[in-house]
Amino acid sequence: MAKRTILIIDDEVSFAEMVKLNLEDTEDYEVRTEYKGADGVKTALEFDPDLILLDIMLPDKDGFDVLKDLKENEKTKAIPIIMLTALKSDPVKFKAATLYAEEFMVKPVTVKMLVEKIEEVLDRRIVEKMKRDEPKN
Amino acid sequence: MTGVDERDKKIDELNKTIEMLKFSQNQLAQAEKLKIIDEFAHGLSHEVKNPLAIILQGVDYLSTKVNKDDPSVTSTIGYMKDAIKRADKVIGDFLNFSSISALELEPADLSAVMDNSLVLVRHQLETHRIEVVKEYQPGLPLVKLDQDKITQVLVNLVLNAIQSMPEGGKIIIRSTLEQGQPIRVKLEIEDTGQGMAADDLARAFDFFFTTKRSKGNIGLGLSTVKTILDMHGGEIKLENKESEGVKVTIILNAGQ
Repeated sequence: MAKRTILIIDDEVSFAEMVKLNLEDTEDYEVRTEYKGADGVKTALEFDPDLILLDIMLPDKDGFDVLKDLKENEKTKAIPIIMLTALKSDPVKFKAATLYAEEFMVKPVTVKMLVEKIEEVLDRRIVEKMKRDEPKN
Repeated sequence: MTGVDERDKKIDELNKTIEMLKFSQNQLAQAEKLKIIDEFAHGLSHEVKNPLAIILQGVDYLSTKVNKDDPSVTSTIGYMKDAIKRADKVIGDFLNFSSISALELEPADLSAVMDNSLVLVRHQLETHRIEVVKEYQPGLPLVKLDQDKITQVLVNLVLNAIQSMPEGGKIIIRSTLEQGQPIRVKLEIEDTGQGMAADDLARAFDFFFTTKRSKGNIGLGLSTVKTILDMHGGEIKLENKESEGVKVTIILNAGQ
């Protein structure tokens, strides 16, 4: 089976690299990392990952702005995004972001929790696609 | 009405207005203080949760690379993961406390808010074999309160009662009209647990005081409860019952 492709956009370099290491260690994923929002958007366009893990606090631009950029771009809007953040605050922003992001996870997360969530989101996406492709009566 | 009566009535109205202004001023000052704590807590949370996230990912990675047949290795990994969870819980509790920044007051039936809170702890009540006895006085006036925050208070108090009865027991909840002016509603929550030591009772509402530190509790539960009630202009009292267990009394002002 082909490996799932994941893009991590997180300014915590150690965290991004640890998650990459853990996901690639399962041999089910190919992972790329970016530490800035603008670089993340650029790589998403080139790499076209199956899923993006996106942090909220990024040095150059807010994670919510990155989310908006990705979801408003024809080429990246279908990529499911899991917001992975150390912040639990600002319910208004979170509410607004739920219009775009598929899931939220609050750090710290175990590898098991992360893999389960990634698979759940990707499976959901497949089911949605199958439903869309079903011939209409 | 005589001139004297008229004057007394006006003085009475003026005093009430002054009381209301004092209450509002106190609320504003509390809200301002809590806003600063909230900002500090979120900054701290971000700075602590990120390293915890890195450590947890690291422990997960290393646990796949070590010899799991050695029980001391698996128990060490377990201890490390538990420590990460505990540190995360401390931050979570601190964030919960700091998020009490402003009240959204609306008239509500305190007994109904109590019932809603019990729904949230239904699972814990069943698991710990706790019977709940309700003695609500009918026709009580509505209380002006922030439903989410008072629910947080009541859930916290019921959970404390449940934890004090590891072998099961009974929680008696009583709502009545408090005698005197202004009109106030009283809610009592009694348990049949082991009660509290006199020293612990005296310090129960102190920040960071806890008798359950080994279980990862940092002692912000009852101080959060007290802060929320203070912001409502309410009261809370904690006492040992003569027979067994603890009685918590909450008093809130009635109002539309």
